[in-house]
Amino acid sequence: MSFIPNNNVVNYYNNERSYAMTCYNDNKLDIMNPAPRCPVILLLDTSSSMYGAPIDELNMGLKQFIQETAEDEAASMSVELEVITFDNRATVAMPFTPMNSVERNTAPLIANGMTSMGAALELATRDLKSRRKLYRDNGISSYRPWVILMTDGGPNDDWYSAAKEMRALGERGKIQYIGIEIGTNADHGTMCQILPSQPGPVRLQGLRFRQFFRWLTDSLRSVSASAVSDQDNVQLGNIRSWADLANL
Amino acid sequence: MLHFLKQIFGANSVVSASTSSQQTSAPRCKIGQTSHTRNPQGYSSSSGGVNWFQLAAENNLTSSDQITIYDPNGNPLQLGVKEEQGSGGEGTVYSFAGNSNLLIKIYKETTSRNPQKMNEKLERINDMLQIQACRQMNFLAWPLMPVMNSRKQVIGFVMRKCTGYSLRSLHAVSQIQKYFPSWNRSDLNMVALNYIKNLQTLAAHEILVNDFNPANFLVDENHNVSFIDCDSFQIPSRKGGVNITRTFFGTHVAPELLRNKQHLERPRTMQHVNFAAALTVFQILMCGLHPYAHCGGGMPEDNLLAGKCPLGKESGAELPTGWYNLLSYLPYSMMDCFIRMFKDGHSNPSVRPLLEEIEVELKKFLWVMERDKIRETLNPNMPKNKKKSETFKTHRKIPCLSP
Repeated sequence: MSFIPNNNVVNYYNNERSYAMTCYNDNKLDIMNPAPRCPVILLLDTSSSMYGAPIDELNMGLKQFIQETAEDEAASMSVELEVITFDNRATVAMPFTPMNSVERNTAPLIANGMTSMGAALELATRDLKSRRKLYRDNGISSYRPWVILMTDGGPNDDWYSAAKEMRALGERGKIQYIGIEIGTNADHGTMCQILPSQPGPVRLQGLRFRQFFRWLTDSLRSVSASAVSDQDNVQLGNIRSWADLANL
Repeated sequence: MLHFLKQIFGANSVVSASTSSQQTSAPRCKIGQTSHTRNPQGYSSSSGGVNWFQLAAENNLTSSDQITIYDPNGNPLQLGVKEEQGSGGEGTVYSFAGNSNLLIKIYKETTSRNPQKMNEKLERINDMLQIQACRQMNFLAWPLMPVMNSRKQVIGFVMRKCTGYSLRSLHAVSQIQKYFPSWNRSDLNMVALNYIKNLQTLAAHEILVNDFNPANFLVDENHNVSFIDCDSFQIPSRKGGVNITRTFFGTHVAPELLRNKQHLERPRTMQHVNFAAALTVFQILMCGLHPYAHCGGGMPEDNLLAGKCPLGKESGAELPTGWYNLLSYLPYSMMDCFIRMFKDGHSNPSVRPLLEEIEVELKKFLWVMERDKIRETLNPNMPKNKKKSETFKTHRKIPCLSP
């Protein structure tokens, strides 16, 4: 569904364009929602090493995240979620979608193939740019985007240039960039190069995906309830429930 | 003090016995107290993201299990469940196990450990307790009694519980349909009218609202609006003058206060209140649209500071996509009032319309909607037909509507 300029409308309140009122456009942007948006990109490793318990736990965590975030009044109006998976190639499993209209029973992710993390980062950078432009063009303000990268290995493709741009955004505080290492086989050295030095990667405690996603929901609830200019002062919750503190 | 509470809420309602608290969770969004977001010790940083070490540190959050509190006579009071959305920057709100009509706000340790801050709080609570008129106002979550710790230090207060959904529930048509399914724009207008009347009632007692965070106001199905962040109000002081707070909400504040934070140290004036009130009223009538939101704009506070308001001809700013239809059904005189407030009054506080004028415009709009039902719709699929509604342009056809 698209929204089309109605040129026959005489606008005597201001001299600008007027559109026939349609809530969603092709980009799933609800233009009649005045809440500032908080774009969230989940970059999820679905390579074959995630097969079994890790991917099952990740799926359960993701499902819980979608449900709990959508149930929160402020977060459901503000958070827009994109899910990018990477295995043999990077795929936008779900393009940016307002949290209040995300399908609750999404098909589970399947683990298979290599780790095309570079391609995923490139997709994320592109989509983030275009989403923020879309907000600006339509007069919608936004919070700092959250980008969450989760992997149990390291990239098999050319990751450097894509990672550099995203890392720079993180270093400048333009995005909230969080890297989660799953298990002991994650390539910590490369992750340290991909992510900004602050905060740097953090290892998940076992397979505590659900605890991590609950923390993420709580964080996004707090951010969404704050004024955009006040988001730096939002107190995030304790990470003890999911982070491997021994490796901090 | 206990006697006073008993008078208001019934003899058995104020308890000091250890009634066990039922750990029931309140419906989401049905909140009894405000949620402050300003937290000077926040862990997020604009320049480097989160700090894992800080986030791994033990939280210093107050738990109801660890607190024993007393009324001024030394009787223990039983805290109930923590109000989920009630935690603020300085305090945590709990239900009162003995009385569902009351809440208890306990200052966080970070606040209570700061003697200067606590002295200010104590002064403020004492000043508020002296204002008898406010105790009787049902729309206020007014402090009714201080609560102490075992060392007889004031650590919070008991207040009236107000119920309803926050004004945020009126931000977006989809939200209105969710929380108030039968409502149209007349209902929103009535909410705005009650909101203005409450501000006027407070102003008559020299009480000015400082923090216009929409989460600080609760609206119910009867269009009543409750004010729940009373301890941030500017109130008359027992010692003369006024007891001020620096509290403000960045997207709902007069631009001169945002521009120069030193102005926050001075008493607020009605010009500040009029501006923030008009902004809130505009948002209520426009389903949450901020009057300074425009295409190509930035953060709401920056837009407000810049004063680039897309209302009116030759505004130089473009209204956010999709909102024109809804805007076009506002009466001409009301638009004029908003334009004088947000454009002319942006840099010149003396020309800002008064609350009384806003009230008259709201009454006119109600009158107009009764006769022009199309204006009541929250989902107009086309803009107003200018010629058809010409009759409502002139004030002469509208009966005299004194405030």
